[in-house]
Amino acid sequence: MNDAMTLSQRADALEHKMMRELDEAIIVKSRLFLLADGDMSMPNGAALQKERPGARMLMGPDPRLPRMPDKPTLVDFFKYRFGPAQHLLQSAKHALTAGLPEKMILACLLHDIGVIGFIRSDHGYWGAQMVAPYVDPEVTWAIRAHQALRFYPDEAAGYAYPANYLQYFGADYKPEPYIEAAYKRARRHKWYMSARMITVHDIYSFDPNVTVALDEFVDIIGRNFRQPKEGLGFDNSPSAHMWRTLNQPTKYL
Amino acid sequence: MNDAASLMQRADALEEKMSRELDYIVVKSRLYSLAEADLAPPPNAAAMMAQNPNARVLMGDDPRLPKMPEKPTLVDFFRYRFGPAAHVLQSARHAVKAGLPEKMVLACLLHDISTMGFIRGDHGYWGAQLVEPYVDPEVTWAIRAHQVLRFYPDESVGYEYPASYIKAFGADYKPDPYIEADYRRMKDHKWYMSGRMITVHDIYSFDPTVEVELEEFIDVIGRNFRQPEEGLGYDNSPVAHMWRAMIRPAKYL
Repeated sequence: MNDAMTLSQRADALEHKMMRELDEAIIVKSRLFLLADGDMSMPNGAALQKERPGARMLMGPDPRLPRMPDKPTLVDFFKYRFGPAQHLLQSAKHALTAGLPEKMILACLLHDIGVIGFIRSDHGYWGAQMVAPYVDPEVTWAIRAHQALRFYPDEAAGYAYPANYLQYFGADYKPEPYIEAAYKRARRHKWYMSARMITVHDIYSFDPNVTVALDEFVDIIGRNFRQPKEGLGFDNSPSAHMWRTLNQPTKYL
Repeated sequence: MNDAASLMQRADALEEKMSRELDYIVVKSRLYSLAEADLAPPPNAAAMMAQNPNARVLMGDDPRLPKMPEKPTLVDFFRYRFGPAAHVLQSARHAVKAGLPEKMVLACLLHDISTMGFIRGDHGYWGAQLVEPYVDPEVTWAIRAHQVLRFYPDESVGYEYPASYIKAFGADYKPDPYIEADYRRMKDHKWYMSGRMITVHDIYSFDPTVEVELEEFIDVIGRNFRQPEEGLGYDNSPVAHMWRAMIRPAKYL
């Protein structure tokens, strides 16, 4: 949707958005988001309100973001919150073509939701934590472990150290001790090969002529992702607040 | 520390920061971008590196943030990552004076760590999740519950709807249905009064002449917070990655 906008449309939308924001709500950034900008300052809600009497702290949906349905599904998060998903879709298609079981196709489809939709740092752990209440434990385990396994080749499985990691991190990069320790634990685990399969199908060299649509996986999601009837975020699960934060990332409290 | 720096020192720090920034590339996490209402696809790391061949994506310590010890403790997070803590310190002091048991003093000390150090929206749920492996389950439960109970008066213990909430959210504000549902679950829970006690001691009208120091609570923390010997973030607990995200909020993967 955003890709299709012209620059001028985007500028208009931005201006409109800022006007609405000024009218209605005061938005205070969370500490974590400020830290990620190297900003150690702490905004003061009460002081901000003094500058703009009548404005309220934002406690509802962010008017600048696409509105989500009242009972959002996983597919709604793909549509309204996640960034471009082509990598995951290609990965899942690759797993499908290789004849992997359905739950592993789901694991490939979801393995990077930490990156495309939430927090990049330790994305495997975040992604696993978000989906844990809704998928087979093996899927959760594999999503968590794939992050560490990406750094360790397994020739028997046909997995080499990624060329793009050499470029991104340098030839001298060594994973941190906690990653090394996680790798050693995972190596001996009964589900090792499931996580390894995510790395094998973690495909970045796409055929640019092939576009995979999420619709191809709607049935696999339906059969393997236990969508809560109250909507993701509103089912009182241990990770419900994480989906709510993605739904409303600027809620004041 | 930041407040004390003169303008000149801050300008110098900024310049130094900018020169250092040439050495690394930060790609913002989706959640942080969403909080700025930026729905654009993330920048392409490979393209950024092509422009600046010496730079690498950030995988280690963030040079813009204070360095943390290798085995960080809860107190280190107060020092190097959390924002001003006067509110939780006053709150814990208030609980000590009222003769609350030590674990409830700890609950008061930690009840807002998510607003001070992590994510504001649903801060009770996030804060409870952060401390869960390290504290008594009653403390976790009470921290989660306080966010909800704040919206509901309980005259039997003298807790009124906060005046600051009327100002911040308007007189017509109604909590979301999931908050209402949690309130109904919580008010019948055996630990209801522990969650309630946090709200009773959730003191905002400080005596500005009183300064409470974290040192006052070191022993309470020592006896009631199971500090992992590997350091918070490196103990392979279910929430270790969350503490690591605070240590390195802009880590690439």
